[in-house]
Amino acid sequence: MRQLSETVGTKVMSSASAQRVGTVQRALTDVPPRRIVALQVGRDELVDWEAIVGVGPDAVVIEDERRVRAAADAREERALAGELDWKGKRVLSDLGDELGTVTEVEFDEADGSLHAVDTTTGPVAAERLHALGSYCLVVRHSAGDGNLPQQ
Amino acid sequence: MSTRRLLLRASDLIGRPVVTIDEGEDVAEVKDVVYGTADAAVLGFTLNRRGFLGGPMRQVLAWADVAAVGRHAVMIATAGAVTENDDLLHDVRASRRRNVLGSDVISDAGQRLGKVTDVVVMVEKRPEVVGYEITGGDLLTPRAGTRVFVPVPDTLAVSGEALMVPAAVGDFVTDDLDGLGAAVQRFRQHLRTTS
Repeated sequence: MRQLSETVGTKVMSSASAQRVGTVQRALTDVPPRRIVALQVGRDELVDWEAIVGVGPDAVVIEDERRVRAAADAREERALAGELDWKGKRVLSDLGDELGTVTEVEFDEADGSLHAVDTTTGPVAAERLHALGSYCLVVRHSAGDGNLPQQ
Repeated sequence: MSTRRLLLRASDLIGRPVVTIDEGEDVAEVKDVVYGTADAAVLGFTLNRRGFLGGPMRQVLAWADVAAVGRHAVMIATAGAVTENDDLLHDVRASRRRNVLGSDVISDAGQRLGKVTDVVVMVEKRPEVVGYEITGGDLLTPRAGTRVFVPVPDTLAVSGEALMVPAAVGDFVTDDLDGLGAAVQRFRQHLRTTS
């Protein structure tokens, strides 16, 4: 298991050329958020998870620098603009209760699957993640949420 | 499904963001609550745009299209819930003429309990009007002049001028919002057993 904040800032290396192709800027996830589907490695550049060979403490290694690509759709463009960033994002349950803000994303470096999201009010399991937008992360309500103090 | 229960003043909903569950976007915020004229129901919301370009929106949000009302946001399934709903827009125009706020609360014994200052909505998942905040009249001495909460029956008549309630409601008046939840259940039980 790995924390997204540890991976962001890591250098990105090409396995084919041993050249540095960039630095991890942010992770892009699917909808609903279950796994990391791509990493942003440069100002307008992405690498799909499928092209990643390894995610380690010192580097993210990709197959080949030719796998670096530009944003392909509106959602990817929004992600690259920072609208869909995790850290600091408001967390709302689907019942409309605020559950703090995102502090960390835990993921499995083997396949990119999300394990949990840490928030200022505690961890949220990946199965409860519903949607990530520019305003908030929507998560499924759980019984424990109701114990939060009133505003 | 959770058994969570929230009691909210309808006026507390004003300014709350309207957020899509499918995309996590704040597509509007509550401008005003639209009340029914034929009964005490809350029909929906008029909306303002979010952000520094905020201002009234032509589109409205009907109760039927609200997925949940929480402590911090009004949740809708998709942005499509915010529409130019003709029925609700008609009710918005009608409610400008006949607003439950400011109405006198009159018992069926012909006594005035006070004046409505807010509507109390109980939310389990979907909201229901369960009571009113009123400024108590002389009948409610020693609470006269203070804000108290009165439960409402499942059905009651509202004219826009007055709110008719059974005289027995006087026994179920509470000083705090949290106490209203229990009072509503006791009051409605009382009505069922005496009718």
